[in-house]
Amino acid sequence: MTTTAEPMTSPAAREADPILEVRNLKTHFPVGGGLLSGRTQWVKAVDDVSFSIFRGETFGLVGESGCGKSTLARSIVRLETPTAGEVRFEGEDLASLSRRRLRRRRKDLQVIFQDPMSSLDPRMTVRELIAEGLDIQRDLPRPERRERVEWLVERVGLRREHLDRHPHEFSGGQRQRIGIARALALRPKFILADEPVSALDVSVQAQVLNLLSELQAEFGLTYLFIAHDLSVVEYFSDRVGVMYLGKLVEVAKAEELYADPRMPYTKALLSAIPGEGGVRGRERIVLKGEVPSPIDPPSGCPFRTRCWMAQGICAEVTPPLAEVRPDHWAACHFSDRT
Amino acid sequence: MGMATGQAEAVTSRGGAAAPPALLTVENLQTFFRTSGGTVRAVDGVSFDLAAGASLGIVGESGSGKSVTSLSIMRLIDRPGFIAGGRILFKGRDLVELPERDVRRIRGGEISLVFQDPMAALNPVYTVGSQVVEAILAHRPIGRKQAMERAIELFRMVGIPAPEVRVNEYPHKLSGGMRQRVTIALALANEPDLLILDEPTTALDVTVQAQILDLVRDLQQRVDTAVLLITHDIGVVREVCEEVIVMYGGRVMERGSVAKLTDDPKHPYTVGLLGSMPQPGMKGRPLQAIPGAVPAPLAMPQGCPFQSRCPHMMEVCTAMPPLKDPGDGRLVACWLYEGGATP
Repeated sequence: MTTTAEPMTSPAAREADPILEVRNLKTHFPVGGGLLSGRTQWVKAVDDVSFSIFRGETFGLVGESGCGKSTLARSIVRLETPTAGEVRFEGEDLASLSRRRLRRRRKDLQVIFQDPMSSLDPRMTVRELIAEGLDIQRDLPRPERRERVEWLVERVGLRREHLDRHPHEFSGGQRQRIGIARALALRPKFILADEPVSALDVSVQAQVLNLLSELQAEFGLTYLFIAHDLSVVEYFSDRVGVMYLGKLVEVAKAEELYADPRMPYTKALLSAIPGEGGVRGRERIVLKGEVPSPIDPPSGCPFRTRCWMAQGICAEVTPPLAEVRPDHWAACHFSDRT
Repeated sequence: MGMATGQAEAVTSRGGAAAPPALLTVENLQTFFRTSGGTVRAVDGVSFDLAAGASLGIVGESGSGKSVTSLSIMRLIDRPGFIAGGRILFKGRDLVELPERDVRRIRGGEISLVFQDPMAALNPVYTVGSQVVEAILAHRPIGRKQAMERAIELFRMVGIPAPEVRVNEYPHKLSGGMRQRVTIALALANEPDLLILDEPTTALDVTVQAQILDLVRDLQQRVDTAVLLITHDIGVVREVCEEVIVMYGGRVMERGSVAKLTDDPKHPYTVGLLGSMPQPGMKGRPLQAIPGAVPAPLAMPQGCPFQSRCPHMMEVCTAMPPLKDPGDGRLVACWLYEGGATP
């Protein structure tokens, strides 16, 4: 009854237009080894992940520290070099591109980082920061670049007179607006937003989320959105993927995932949202123990050591990410019983 | 009761007869910082009380003064900060006036504090068990062996598995969640009457946060300590506290039961704060964000600190409204609930 194909081959996915296809992506990092042990060990930060992101959607990625969500995202935009697998952007495998072609492609894939203070060069003015990409690509004559920078700074909610100031003169929310203008300057198609609101106060976070939504509608942007606040991810994403120990363990439409998770880890994760008891009447599942080491993950299902439903098969066979109902994918041998 | 009541009465008087005597009463607390640009009024006239065994949350964004309030209670304000006014009555004694020697006895004894970052509270070169032992010995005339037994007992109580083994570990060997359990054990070592938790789960993953909040709730019932929980996350308060204070710009904006404030916020800032938080079912609609940003500490307006971002700003807002009961047992500091009258 469940098909074990990859998420992009589901009927709806075939109709939808994938802008980005990730296939069997692995990003492993060497650790330790050295003189004494003589043997290099590998952290499997991203371990055989496949999924697609559709044009114009927001794909939210959740999971706890060390689950590999940031490494996956950074591997997709090639801030990390994957160990194996494919990332196809508009059908083109990014790994196969020459350095020059990749540089051209990069303007389509931009990144908004969590901490605009550490991602913005403090010596540059806002004008230089926003124009940097345009000045490197040189697709536009100078007066038009200038015009676009002035338009952008206002579009993200700052003023023209801010252009000659430096990042430290701004509040956290304003700095994130600068980061957004910078990402938008090259008219990208795809933006990785890696914890873009996590460092901001709640009231400012709402302003930035509203801005990101407006810009998405206005420019037809596709977002890969990472946030540790699960309520923010639910609100902001069309579809959500859940990661655990380097694997993608569940993918579904946000509403469906939050209403009816099929993978026990997702269930436990969502039940931990603080203050939710009163809102959704969900029963709190308190997980025992801690996340195993990604150097030596459990055999079979990565979650089995903490799962209250684990059986013998869970140690032997890694459950594939399978379509358990239309457009809802879960990696669990007992997804129909959760 | 007797001594030195007076100005503070107007600020705290809550309805309800024969309330139990407060464990902690903060009256018109002012904590200022002298800077080269002028005096920052980080906490400016904060009043509240907390009964023995009760739980109170303080919610606010950065610059609201929530952490400075908790540090003031512990008398941990260092230069250029100073307590400029008000009283902090703990079991009837004014902590503001108490000599440092006596405060030290209270700190880690009757009042203890858990911070956001457990590594800041733990010494990396001592085992976690020996740190709890030292904390016990600093306040109790018992032997080291007995103290270690108590440390193991505390570790067991805060849910650390294999406590006999774990007491011999160094902090860096433990996960973030386990470290925070250790600091909670440390805080409980001397059975405090008041446990202050300042963003205790902010650095933790959500499932670990759930474990720690469950622990706090459970402990509060078992050891009967009062809890003051400082956080930016109203969801966290909802997990642990009966009552909540919302702070902004160094002032209390609203106080009441958690259910009342979250279901039916009255102060425009509380309304804005809740509207900024995505709720299930809000997808596709813009969040009701609060416009603008918190004014710089030295640029706080006269009167209500929220006036510059408030959709209901009136002329009278240049004077600070008193905290008053709008008629349902809560307290709100807003002229909207005063009929716009001048004080």
